[in-house]
This record gives sequence, C-alpha cells and structure tokens, in this order.
Amino acid sequence: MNTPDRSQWNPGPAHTRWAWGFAGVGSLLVALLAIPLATLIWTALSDELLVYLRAPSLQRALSLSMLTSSVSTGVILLLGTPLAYTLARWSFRGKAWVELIIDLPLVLPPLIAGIALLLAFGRNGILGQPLDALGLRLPFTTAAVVVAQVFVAGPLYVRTARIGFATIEPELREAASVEGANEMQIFRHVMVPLARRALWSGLILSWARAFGEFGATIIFAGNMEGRTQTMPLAIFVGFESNLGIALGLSLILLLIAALVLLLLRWIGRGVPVA
Amino acid sequence: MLCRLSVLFVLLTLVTACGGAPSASSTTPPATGAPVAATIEPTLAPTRVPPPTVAAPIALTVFVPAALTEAATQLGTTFEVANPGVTVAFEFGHSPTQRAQLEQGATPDVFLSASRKDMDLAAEQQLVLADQVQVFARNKLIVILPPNNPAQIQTLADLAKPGLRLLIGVPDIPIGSATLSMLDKLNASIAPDYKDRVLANVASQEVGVKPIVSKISLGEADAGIVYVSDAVAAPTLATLEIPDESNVIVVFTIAPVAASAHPEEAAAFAAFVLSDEGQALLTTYGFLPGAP
Repeated sequence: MNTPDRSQWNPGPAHTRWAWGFAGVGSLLVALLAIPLATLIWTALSDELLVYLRAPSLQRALSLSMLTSSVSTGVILLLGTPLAYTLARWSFRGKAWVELIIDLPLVLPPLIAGIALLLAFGRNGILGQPLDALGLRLPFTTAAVVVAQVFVAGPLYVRTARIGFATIEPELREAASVEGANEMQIFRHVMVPLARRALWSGLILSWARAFGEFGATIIFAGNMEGRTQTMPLAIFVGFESNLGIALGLSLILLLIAALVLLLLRWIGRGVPVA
Repeated sequence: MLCRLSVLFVLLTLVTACGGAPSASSTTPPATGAPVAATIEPTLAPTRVPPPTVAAPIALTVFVPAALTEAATQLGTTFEVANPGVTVAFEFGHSPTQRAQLEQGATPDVFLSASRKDMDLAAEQQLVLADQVQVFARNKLIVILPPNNPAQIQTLADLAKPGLRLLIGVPDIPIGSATLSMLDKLNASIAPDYKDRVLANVASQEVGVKPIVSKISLGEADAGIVYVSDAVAAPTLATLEIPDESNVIVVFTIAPVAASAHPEEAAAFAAFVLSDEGQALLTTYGFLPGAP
C-alpha cells in the first residue's frame, strides 16, 4: 500500500464511506434484536389478547409478581443502602471479598443461585435447619420468591448506590462535618439527597430485575399458581400449554421493561426526583 | 478489507447461531462420530484396511422427552456402534415444547414423545410420518420419598395427611396430567375427598419430572409422584407402589420426522428402538415394553 499523500487527503467521502460501513455492520445486531421483539408484539396482538389478559391465572401471576418484586425492592433498599454507603465511605480489611460476593450474582446464572438457595435454606441446609426447628420452612413459599429476587436483584442496587455515594465530592461531607453535623446527619441530609438519582436508578433497576426473575425462583420457590408462580414462570408454563397466555404475559413484561427504561432516562436527564 | 471481514464474521455468527440454536446444547459435532468407527476398525482389521466410507458421517438429531435421558443416551450409543458413520445427538425437553418447535420449523430426524396428544398433533400436521407412529415404551406412576421418609408415609392414603409437602408435575405436561387421572382413580377407592386433600398438600407443580426427583433427593419435600423409570434411575430414594388398577399407563411414541434430511437413517433408528435389543435396553431403565 502506498503512503497516502496528505495534501490530497479528503475527509468527506472517506468518512461517509466508513460511517456506512460501521452502521451497516451494526444494523445487523439491531435487526437481530428488533425483529424477534416486533414479531412477538405482532403475534401477541391477536383478537383473543383481551380474553387472555382477563384470564385468572394471568392476573394472579401479575399481582404476585407486583407484590413480590415490590417487597424485595423494599428489602433491598433497607439492607442495600447501608451496605452501599459502607463500601463507598470506608475501607476495611476484606472489603475486596465483600465486593466480590456482591458482584457474583450479577454474572452468575440465576439457576445456580436457585440451587445454592435451596441447599442453604433447604431442610438439611445450614440456614434451613435452624429455621426448620423454629417451624419455618422457606422453600416453596412466597417468601422464597422474595429471597430469590433479593439474591439476584440486590447487587444491582448496591452497585449503583455505591457509585452514587462514591462520586459525591468529599469536600461537601467535610464541610457538613465542620459545621458540626454528626455521621447520621451527614448521611441523611447530605449524602442521600446528593445520591438520590443513583439510588432511584438502582431501585428501579433492581425492581425490574426482580420482576423478571425466573431461574432462581423456579428452583428455590417452585411453581404454584397464586403462591410462587410469578409472571416469568407463568410464561414458561404457558409456553407448553397456553401460548396465548404466555404471549399476553410477555407483552406485559415487555411494556414494563420499556417503561423502566423510560423512567431511568427521565431520571438521568435531571428531572427532579423525590 | 477489515470492514468486509467483520461483515463476514457477523454474517457467519448469525448463520451458525440460527442453524445451531435449537440443538446447540446437545448436538454432537459430526467429526466426533468418525473416531468411534475409526477406533473400532483397527482392532478388527489389523491390516489397516482404509475405512469403507470416506463420506462425512450422518448426524441424526432426535427429540426426546427428558424422562428418557439416560435410556436414550444408551440407545444412541448402541445404535452408533451398530451403524458406523451415523451419529445420534439428542435434544432433551418437554414433549409439548418440542412439538411446538417442530411446528416452528425445527427439523430433527426422529421425534420421541411422552404424550400421545403431542404426537397425534404432530402427525395431524404431517410434521412426522403419520403412518409410522408407534408406541415404543410405556411407563406408570410411582410415589418417591426421601431416603429417610421424614413424613412417615406408609400408604397411598397417607398422601392426604394434612401438612405434607407434595411435588407433582404441572398439569400441562404429561406427568402432571397422568398424576391427576391417577388421583381421580384413587379417589374412588380411598375416600371421596382424597384427591382434594392430596392436592391441598401440593407445595409446587414442577415443570418436569427431573426437578421433582432432585428436590425429593434433597429432602425438600415429603413425597413426589414420578414415573417408575425415574425411580429406577434414583435408587437411593424410597418408593411407594401404586396398584395397577389405580395406576395410569403413559405411552411413549416414536416417529420419523417428515422433513428429515436422512429418512433412511431416521427409520433405522426408530426400528432399532422398537427391536428386541432396543426394547430390552429400555426395560433395564425401568420402562415397560411398547407392546403390552
């Protein structure tokens, strides 16, 4: 190849050609993502959709999903916020291990989470045995659905919240400290308000993750309509029996996912949040 | 150049992803079939006769219900040894799902179904060769209990004891619907509210037979209802027999897929499963022979 003559270098057409090249390759991926989803929506929007949406099994799955993912998001908020704050604010021995444990569920297949939970909380498990002695049994209960959701969705919140806390300028905290604020006052009146965008994003993300949880739930909580059959489980079961219900549920989940993304974008744009 | 290469790469990925997706988990790459023949040949013919067929081995894909996992794997290995140059790869799943996959254009070579209904639907739509549908195995139900039987279940009537945790299959899959018909029959012989009381004990309707076996093995529930063949495959579990008059016989059917690219080999595999050798093999895994 000859060295190009710089004086004759013309950025215009070459740039355009490259732009088309990049966009052309990239559009294949867009097509791969868009075509199946569009087909799903198209198929789901059948005449019977309204009948399926009114089916009692669909409604039970929907309300159970709403309930469990909201409860688990509450648990994540209560336990995850102090954890995220600790990780952002202080360093301590073994911190890297704590971080590893928190990040693992993000990359771990949820099925493995389900098996791990079943082994730990099961009748012969390290946590299950003492609970069993108290007459509490977690597997196959609605509480198990919540635990599975906290397991897989909690890390999303902790990560996001931690970054939110960590990116606050230390000077702001120090200024409050100089003014005489104690650690709790700093947390409540300085850190949480300044990190609120990150906290909200984290909560919404983990709620959505909990809502879509499947693998850990089906192993740890089982599948029982009205008790542990959340929407993703109903979709899985429906695919084998009633495709219409599975499609109706898929459409609802898709809609909720789209809403979540809109909400996240809205928060990201700087629209005031509570 | 780079641009073209990357386009090619993306296209190749797409093509392989599309073609391979339905069978990605279990398809044996064609190449692995050859060594089976190659390693056996030299011992039989020390004079190093060149292998009779240089043609690429034929890879059969077979849709199999998960209940047949161990038995089918053994059937496949035996068939491969008897038919050098043919490899068999299994895809294990639920019959309704696999029938739906057939409808959506999946083209395995042979379809084995745990439910008569799904085979009949596939035959009606001419997805399989309707005139070659045959019953190749039968199975009946049995109650499995954790090894130490924590709930002290001694009789079928005990399944109605309040507070028990029972695992059954979701009614939409063959094991689930068979369980419900069995409970209907027991209802008549044990007590009029037997079925309702048993169903009130159901902790979970599992989406397959294998999850029931695993969770009972872990002791997470007090009893599960599965096929006899599953109990045979898990010898550590305690069992409770269900008398034939109350039991439900499930038939497993086999048929070559109409759109198979290897119809002869597909028919040969079906014939092998139905042969005395195939039937004997299935019996060792706890199945009843296809012919009553």
